[in-house]
Amino acid sequence: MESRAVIALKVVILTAALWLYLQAMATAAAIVTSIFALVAATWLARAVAPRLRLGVSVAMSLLIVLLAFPFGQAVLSSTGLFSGLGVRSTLLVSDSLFFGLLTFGIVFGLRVLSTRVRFLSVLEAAFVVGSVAWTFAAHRNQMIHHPRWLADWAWSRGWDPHLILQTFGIAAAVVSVFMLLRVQRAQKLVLTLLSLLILGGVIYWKAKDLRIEPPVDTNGLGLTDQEQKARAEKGKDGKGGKGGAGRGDGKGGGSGGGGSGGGSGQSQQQPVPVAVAVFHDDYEPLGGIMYFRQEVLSRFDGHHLVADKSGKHDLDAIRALPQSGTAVAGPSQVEEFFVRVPTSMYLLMDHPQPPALTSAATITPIQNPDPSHFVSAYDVASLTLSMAPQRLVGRRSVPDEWSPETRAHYLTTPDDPRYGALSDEIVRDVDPRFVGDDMMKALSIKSWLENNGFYTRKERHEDASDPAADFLFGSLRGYCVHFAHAAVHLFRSQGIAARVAVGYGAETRLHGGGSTVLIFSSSAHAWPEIHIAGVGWIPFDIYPKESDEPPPQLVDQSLESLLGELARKDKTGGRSADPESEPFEMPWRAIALWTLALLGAAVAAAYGAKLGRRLLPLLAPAWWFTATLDRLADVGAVRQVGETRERFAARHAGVAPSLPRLTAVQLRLALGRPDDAARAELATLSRQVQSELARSTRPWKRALGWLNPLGWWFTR
Amino acid sequence: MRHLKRISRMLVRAWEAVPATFLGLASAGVGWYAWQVYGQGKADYVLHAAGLVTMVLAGIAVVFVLLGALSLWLMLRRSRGPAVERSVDTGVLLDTGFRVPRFHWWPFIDVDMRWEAPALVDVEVTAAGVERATPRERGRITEIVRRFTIRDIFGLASLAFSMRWPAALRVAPSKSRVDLSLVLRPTSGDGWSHPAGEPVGELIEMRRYGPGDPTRLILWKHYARSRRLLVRVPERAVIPRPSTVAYLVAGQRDEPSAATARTFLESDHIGADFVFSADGDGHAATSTDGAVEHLIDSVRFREQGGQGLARLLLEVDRGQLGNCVVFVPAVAGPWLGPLAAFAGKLPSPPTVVVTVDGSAAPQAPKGRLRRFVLRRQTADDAALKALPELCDVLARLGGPVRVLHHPSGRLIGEHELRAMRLT
Repeated sequence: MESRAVIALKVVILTAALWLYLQAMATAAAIVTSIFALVAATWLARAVAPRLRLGVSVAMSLLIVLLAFPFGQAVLSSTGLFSGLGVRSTLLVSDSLFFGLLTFGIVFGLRVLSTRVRFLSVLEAAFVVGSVAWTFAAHRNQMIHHPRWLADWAWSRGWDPHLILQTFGIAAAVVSVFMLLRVQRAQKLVLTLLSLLILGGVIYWKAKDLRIEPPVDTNGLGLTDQEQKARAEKGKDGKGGKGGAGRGDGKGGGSGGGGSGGGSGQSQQQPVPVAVAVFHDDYEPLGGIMYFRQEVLSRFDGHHLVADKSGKHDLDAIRALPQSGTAVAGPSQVEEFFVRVPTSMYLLMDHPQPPALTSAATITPIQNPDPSHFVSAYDVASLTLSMAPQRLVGRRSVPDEWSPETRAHYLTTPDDPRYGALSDEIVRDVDPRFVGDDMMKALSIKSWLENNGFYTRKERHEDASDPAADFLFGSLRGYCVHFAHAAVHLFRSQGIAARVAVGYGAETRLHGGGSTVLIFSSSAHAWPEIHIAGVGWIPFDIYPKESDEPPPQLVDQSLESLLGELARKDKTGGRSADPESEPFEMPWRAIALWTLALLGAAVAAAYGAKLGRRLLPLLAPAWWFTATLDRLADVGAVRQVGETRERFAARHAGVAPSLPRLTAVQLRLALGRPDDAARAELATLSRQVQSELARSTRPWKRALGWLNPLGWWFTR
Repeated sequence: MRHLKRISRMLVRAWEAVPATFLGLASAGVGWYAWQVYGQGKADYVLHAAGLVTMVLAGIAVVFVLLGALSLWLMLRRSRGPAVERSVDTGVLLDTGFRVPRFHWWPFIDVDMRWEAPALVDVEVTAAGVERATPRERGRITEIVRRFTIRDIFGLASLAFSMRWPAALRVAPSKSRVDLSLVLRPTSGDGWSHPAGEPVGELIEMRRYGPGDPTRLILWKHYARSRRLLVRVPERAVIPRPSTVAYLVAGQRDEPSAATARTFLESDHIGADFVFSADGDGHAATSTDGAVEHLIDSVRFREQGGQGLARLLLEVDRGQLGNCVVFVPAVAGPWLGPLAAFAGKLPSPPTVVVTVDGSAAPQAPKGRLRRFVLRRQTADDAALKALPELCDVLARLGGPVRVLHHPSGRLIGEHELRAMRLT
């Protein structure tokens, strides 16, 4: 049975939790009503529920919760109330009734379960922690600009809101654990609370630089380290699905939509920001999409397209972030067709290959401006096509200088004659003036796929041995991975060197006008690249005209600019008028010094009191007895609650045989008339007890007693 | 069923040796879920920290409980004192002199203690750790098994272990509040006759009215004058009654009857010349002290309740058996057979006294709805429920059957028994 004090403490905690739940969605009247309902439910759970069966109590609470909505609605639909009370009052009554009943039902149920089934107290604790989590839930999935009232306040002072949120989490857990209490003495409670605060402080200290990387789903492409490790684990368990087939060569070849059908193709999770690109100059991509390439898949292994690890091909793709110095891409792009775009990339998630605006010519690591938010940072110099691909008509794809091995590498297709037949059929309709032109053929294939394909993430072609064929010669319904692989096989069957690039595709129209582009996991993309002799590799993406995808959401400009400013070393994320100003730092040193000073003063005061009580008998002989008791308390001999002085003296007669006599004399003095002889005897006996105590107590215990500043505090 | 109970007890005991509780496991589980699903899965920094703290707290609770248990065990090993030697009555608070370390300066943990054996002893430990025991059952306690439970104050972890101490406690049944003059017929020459008993002398004396007195004996004229209720009672018996033979039948829930028997032994009603016996291996006692010792020892013979009645027939002169009082347990048991056989051999049927504990007026929920909504009765109430049936069986012995309520000292009348039959 819980004590009244514990119940009062719980009511206070529950009220605070209730307020957190309701403050965003209920009127003030409803909140007040709910608080009354909470108190009533707590009282009822204590007074009445013990006599009811548990099942009946729980059913009652469920019934009340279920009735809350129809009751609230009934008030709203009552024309009589509307006409009698007016609109505002009727709404208030409905709101109050709904939330009041809801609160009553929930709190009654929680209280009954908690008191009757011990381990279900955890539900009450979860209710309290849940209220705090609910209040700050908007910050989930790396939305570090939410909730705005907290994030803006914190960032403007140069504080990371994550630290504040962690502090709230620790405090919520520490407070909620008191919901598990039944009965406890105040002393133990205070001691435990202090210990919990120290524990919370240690956890805070250990976790303050913590970075949480939530699981990301890059549309099944497996672009992040996390996804690749998960795939490797799955592979070890023998549960590896078909999703990883494209990159499943075990050489860390990267992500992938390998072999058409990699991954699920369905993004089940919330989009998570994965990288920030900061442009150093103005840049507007030609097609409205910025391609941040991470890996290329060019080697056909008989089933799928995978990354080439031979080191002979795809030398233009930089596959690793150098520890120092600059990684330079192999020569493939002819600069006169490209424009050089310098960017800085700040990754929010680990990636096995560094994503960079295609095509990256150089990648140079730079200092991470904010390790608590970014995992790595690097500068990229990219060569982006400066003209529309259509203007490259008339050029061949495969240059003469390519070796037969290189030609074979980029032109190998599956042993399926249907690819050749279909591509022949598509290019048959090309304008006779451009017959045999590789660029024209590529454009025809692209156009055919865009007109006939249907973009959907619902068809995964997972079970097919060749998902690209299943897509192309089947329903023609699929997503970027299927379009890219099908296009590459069709290009190659027409003698056009092609490969699949994977990374992120960021649409400019979804982003703000600033120089920062925030890349989300949902932007993961696979697209074909074709080679044009004398130009190099160019992105040649397919844009299906039909799709069942909802329109993409605009990128939150607030978050984009915040991360951009953090990348630019502004600790306030652009929230402060003076970014150069030093952020507020907790004065730990001063706090520690003051705490030490206060503790020192308290100890000094305690020693002063101890000394004073020892010396007082010299001035007032009546204090002899107290001074003797102080000495006994120093070595742990304390009178217990309810114990008489005589019994206490008898109990310690073994340690100090003169103590019973001393106690008797003290009582005679206290209760009788002033007696000089007794006073003198008191002093003598006190000295005797002290010397007996010194003889019968071990030296180390006596020394500890001397050092103990608070022994006198326990003298009764 | 018995095997199931034993297995369940063994499982409970094994679980108590594990420093974790269901609450601790549930808390750690919920903490892990919050940490894993919301903290790691959705980058919720609030739940990440809260889940972490909850798991760490559950771990710390286990560590503190283990350390506390070790420390307590060492302390108790060092503090093995002499055996407790006392003589007390049931229901009397006894300061055993044992001190339980309370770990006042340890955060998180607390210590509870109970007596594992003997079982029917209420033990409380004061804030200062002073142990106070209230025996609920008579008997001789030669060993105390104390079970210590170290738990954290939130209930996240707990560990229990037992230790044994020698003891020499003699627990006699406490005296009852029962007014025996309402129950028993005069048992000696100096006794008072009761109006409900056999007529002895004329109704010429007066005394104050007591519950159970027939209303026809109330002096209404006196009441009209003084507002005081007096009843007529017979004059002092002229002819001395034969001496009394009393017997306590041991059995389940016999403690109240033992208390009544002791009250009877130490009251004037039994007279100087009496014979008392109880189930056990001793001979019938003719002194109060010896009789009380019989009462105490009878607790060990509950399984053989009523077996000593046959021996009583051999030990006591048949002439004395004309006024026999038998104190029987509150629930039926195997003793009914020997009692019936014993009663059949007496010159006149014995007076049977049943004393019960618990609520005298059981509040059984009435109606289907109430039974469905309200919790079940307590065990005491359940025992009272079977009381009318027991009284019917005892009434067939031919003698008067008196039912006493131990806590209140009241006589439970026929109308109350009738009410119990209806519920």
